[in-house]
Amino acid sequence: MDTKSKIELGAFPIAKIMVAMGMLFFLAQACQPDTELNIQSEPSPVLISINHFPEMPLEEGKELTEEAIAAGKSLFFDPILSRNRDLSCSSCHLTQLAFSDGRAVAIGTEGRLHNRNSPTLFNVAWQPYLFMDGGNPTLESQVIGPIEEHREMDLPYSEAIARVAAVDYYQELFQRAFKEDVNPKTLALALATYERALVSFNSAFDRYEYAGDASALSPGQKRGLALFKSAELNCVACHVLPLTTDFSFQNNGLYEVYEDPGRARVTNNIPEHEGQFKVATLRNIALTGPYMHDGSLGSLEEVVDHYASGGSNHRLKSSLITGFSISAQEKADLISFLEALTDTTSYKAYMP
Amino acid sequence: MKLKYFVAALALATFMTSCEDDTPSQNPSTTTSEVPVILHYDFKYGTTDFALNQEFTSDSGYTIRYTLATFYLAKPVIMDDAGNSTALDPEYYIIRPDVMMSNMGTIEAGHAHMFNLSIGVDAETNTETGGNGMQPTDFSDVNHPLAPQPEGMYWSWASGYIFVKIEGEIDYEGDGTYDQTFKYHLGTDPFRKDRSTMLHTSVEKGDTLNITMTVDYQQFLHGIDLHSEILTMSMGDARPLAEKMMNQFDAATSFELGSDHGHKK
Repeated sequence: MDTKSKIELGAFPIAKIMVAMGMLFFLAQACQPDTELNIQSEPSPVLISINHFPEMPLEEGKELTEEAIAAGKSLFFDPILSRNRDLSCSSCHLTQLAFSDGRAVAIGTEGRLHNRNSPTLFNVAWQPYLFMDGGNPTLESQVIGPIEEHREMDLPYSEAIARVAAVDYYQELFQRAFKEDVNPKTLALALATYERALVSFNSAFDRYEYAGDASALSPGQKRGLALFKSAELNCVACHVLPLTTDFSFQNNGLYEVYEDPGRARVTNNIPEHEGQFKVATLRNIALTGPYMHDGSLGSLEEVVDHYASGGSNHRLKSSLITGFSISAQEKADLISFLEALTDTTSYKAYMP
Repeated sequence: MKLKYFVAALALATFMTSCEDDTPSQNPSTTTSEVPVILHYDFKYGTTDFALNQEFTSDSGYTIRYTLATFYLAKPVIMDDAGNSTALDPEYYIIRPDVMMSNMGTIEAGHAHMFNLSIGVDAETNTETGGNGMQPTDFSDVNHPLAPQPEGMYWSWASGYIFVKIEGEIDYEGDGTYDQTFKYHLGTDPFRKDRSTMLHTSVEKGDTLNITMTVDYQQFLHGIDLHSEILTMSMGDARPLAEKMMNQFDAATSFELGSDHGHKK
């Protein structure tokens, strides 16, 4: 008997979607503590397979299991990881905002302002590197970032481990998930595994584009999709489908002078990297404003205006940002299409 | 019946002896030709002993105190005069001012020609912007030097270890109030310092190869403008200062054969 929990979407038959959603709901509930502990049993593998997505990259030893997801989920919503126990990961990654926070920049413990916008976590499993400047190679090691960062949770990772390890409930969860105590490796693996399980694939666009549901998009959204793919706008040059990003680093001409050097910060100031940021996913974009690395554009209208204008004349601006003409109707259609990238079924499944 | 008691007694004896420690009671170096290698640490502020939170006077006459002075040493090696290398074990050391010495394993008795190690973490292990190196989240053992440290010796946003992390405070007016902090978080592969020390000594069975590392924290700040050169995380515009401070640390550091206990080997 195959004991794997399987999330597999092929051509989007409704029944399959329901099965997948049911599984997500199950995963969402999986962190509830049991009254009995049985750590003898093997963790239960979870397979997330989405036919119109590339295969999820998973290294050996980082496989998704119900138990690891449950352990990570508990931590994700627990303020135990912040110095003052006043913030959790979910404080800046709100489920109902597709794991973003609606603010221009993140606000950390004691009201400290970050300099960057909180990104969505959906489909983060496919990211080949983390943070907007790509400074971190794995979901596991990036866990240290927000926990230790002065403007976020401001807690030494070593202390976070000690705190979590002191809680019997977590020790039980971790024994179930990893057959190990809470330690630097397992704590990071738990959070990373939960984050890998945050997948979004069921927008109206997905149903239209990949499941043959011609009625999933309105006429305006279809026109917007055509514009999105058009040679003139060429949004797909960077926002490659289906993930809506190619993960490249681009200077999109937001400023003539960047306060935040972007990728140059982590590449020892290589001049060509100044002002470059990783191309963001557009999935659930209507939920994840304000936009850009610093949240400086408040609406999708402003974003379209920025690209239509061709942006600022930064010497390293991407050659792809050349500006374009767009009518009011076309702009409305394009934004309507972007709104069709919202996948409410996914985020609702992950509600705590 | 007697046989029954005998078997039971034998089983009991076997059970009890099986729990005994198998480790030989003698030091391996006394029974083999292996020679222990010990690196001693001597932390100074000029001619006085160094300690965290102790007040010192800077070259400019300011009252200063260090609140943090932690660094990594990596991959110590002893070379004989034929050029053969013996990699010492363990490979990584996190050193704070309260560390007196590090046991660096053993070498075969014979001629110890050169002692090599890195201040910082070697490039293969230090994963700056990708690659197959190590991160603190790779370790289950919290006691491993490369595991997470209380003072945070890893930049998760740049994915690399902080080789030297030094922080402190400055009282410019001498009124007992600290006016400014200094923070030098030094790392990234180009700034690692590979050090070689000529030993040129022979060690025999029963000897210990003692080496002393001295760090002079007055020398570290020698010539530094404590108004303008007070902050670097080794990135961005402060990168040149990081390079300068890493060179300062390198210059403030010396290695020599022997220990202050008078043993040359």
